[in-house]
Amino acid sequence: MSRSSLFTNSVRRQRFKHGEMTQAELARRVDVTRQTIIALEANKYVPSLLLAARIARIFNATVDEVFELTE
Amino acid sequence: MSSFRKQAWSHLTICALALLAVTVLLRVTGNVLASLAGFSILSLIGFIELYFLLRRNSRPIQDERDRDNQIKSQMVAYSGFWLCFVAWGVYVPLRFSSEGLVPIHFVTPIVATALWLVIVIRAAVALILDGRQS
Repeated sequence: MSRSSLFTNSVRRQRFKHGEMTQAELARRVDVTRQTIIALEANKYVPSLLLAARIARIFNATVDEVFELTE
Repeated sequence: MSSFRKQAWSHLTICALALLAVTVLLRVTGNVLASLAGFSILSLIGFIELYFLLRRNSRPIQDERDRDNQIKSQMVAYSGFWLCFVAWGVYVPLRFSSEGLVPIHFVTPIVATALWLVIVIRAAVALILDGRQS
């Protein structure tokens, strides 16, 4: 199992819960490219702690609520 | 397409153009040293970097994922460079004997070719890594 598939997230679900926020809008707000949001949602990229915290803050959630270690 | 991908593609395109120029010059002049002028096309990479640096838009030039991929691609590129460098260092003395004279056209192209090789491997690996995550 790859490293990234052990670390799943609910970014896509959270985006839709928050007014169907687009990937581009989320990317702009956390200062990354849209491709990184795409890779994150596909569980193909493990974000840094800083990026994870920024994303969680956008959704008014804790990092634990958005990201999960599935081991 | 992200800036990172555009940069990598532009580097590959410039390297392909440089290779084409070297090949054409070699055919036309028949002189290895003269054909090396084709590598001057690599200087366009400097303008490409400036273009991405000076372009004003709200999107970041690189984010943390791009930087990760860049570091990995650089490591692969320099591994490739050192493997070729050592292979060349072993091949030349074998071909001309350790006390023989090495023709100038075996030595002069090394710097430009090594730079070309590093840029090509780095851009190709960056595109592969980025593509696998998309």
